[in-house]
Amino acid sequence: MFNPGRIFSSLLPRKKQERRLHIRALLHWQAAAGGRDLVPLEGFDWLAFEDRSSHVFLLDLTDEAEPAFAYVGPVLRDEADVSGDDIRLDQVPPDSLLARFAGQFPQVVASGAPITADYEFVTPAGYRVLCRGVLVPLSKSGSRIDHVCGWISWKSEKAAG
Amino acid sequence: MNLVCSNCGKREGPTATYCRDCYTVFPFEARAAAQRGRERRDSLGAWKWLPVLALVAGGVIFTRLDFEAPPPPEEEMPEPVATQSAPAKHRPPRTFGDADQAWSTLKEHAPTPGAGGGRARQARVRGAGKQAEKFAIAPSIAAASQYVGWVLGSDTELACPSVRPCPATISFGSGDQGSYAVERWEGTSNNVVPADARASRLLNRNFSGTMKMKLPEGRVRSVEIEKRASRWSFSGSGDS
Repeated sequence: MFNPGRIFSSLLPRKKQERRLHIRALLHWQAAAGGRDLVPLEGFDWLAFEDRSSHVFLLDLTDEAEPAFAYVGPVLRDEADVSGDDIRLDQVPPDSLLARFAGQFPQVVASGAPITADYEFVTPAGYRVLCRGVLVPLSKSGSRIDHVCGWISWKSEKAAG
Repeated sequence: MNLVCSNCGKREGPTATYCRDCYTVFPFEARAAAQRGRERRDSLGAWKWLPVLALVAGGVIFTRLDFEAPPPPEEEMPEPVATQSAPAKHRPPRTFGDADQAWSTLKEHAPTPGAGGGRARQARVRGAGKQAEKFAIAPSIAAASQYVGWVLGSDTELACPSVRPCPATISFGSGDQGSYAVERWEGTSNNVVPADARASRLLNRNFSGTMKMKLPEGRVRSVEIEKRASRWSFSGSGDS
């Protein structure tokens, strides 16, 4: 669609924008924290900066014994082959990217700080997939970390040989 | 509509968000377009088979109509005819059972023509198939087109039995006599029918309106006879 404003803005000199999803998420969390130990869930727009919210998940730790997903982006749902609204962490296939990254939440709770993770694997079709993820702590109660938000992105390349 | 991976070319279903071979994430616009196509097909449901069903039903109806098509227009000809030409090769020989019955009924109800009766007249009739065929026209029909009939006056009362013709003799002023039959028709006029060609000629030459008629019972009465050009006095009111 023709957008004169977008064309005009593209001609102006601008600051280099971070393209990596996990870095943008981390920067967004730091801006929302503002030096506080706990970032409130209500004030954190975790759906804002990612287009279509396809690669984000929100893990609810209110019941620490059975962590459940409050939201799973469509791409992550498809990759993990899960559906429905009430998805518990132990119901997600352990070899899915969602389970591998969300399963790192104890480190976030323990440290009280964001963590990043990398994961690499080769598909049966011979493509090497390089994954990156970030998990940030959030608090709904204001007293403890009871939610973890994460973003997972990847890129792939034809594996050599 | 399926999604095709731009990286490896693998085809995925319309609900896929990424390629399972190379993990390339499909653009949202492509996913939305594929999803719209799928929803459109789902919304059709069973109706998507409607064009197929319509085609099948149309074919069946067309086939049945073709098999049950009415015979060629020649079959619709109402006149009772007896063919004198060989039947067409592609058609079975015609039977005239119904036509003969209609003819006999026609003869029973029709006034016997004064002239030309008993002889078939041939004519050429051009059929619907543009092929000229010879037909024998029924004598009563041929004569009816030329028929000039005589009827007794409406106030004439005869002792003849109903329907069954009764013989009568008409005496003319010239002294000649002719044999006739009087056909009574309930509710219609009484037809005076010459018994032979001579009686017809006598009536034609000596017609004067009021004539002496000798009835079967032996009485001679003066009766009013009206001359009229009649085609089918047996149909309708008989006064046509």
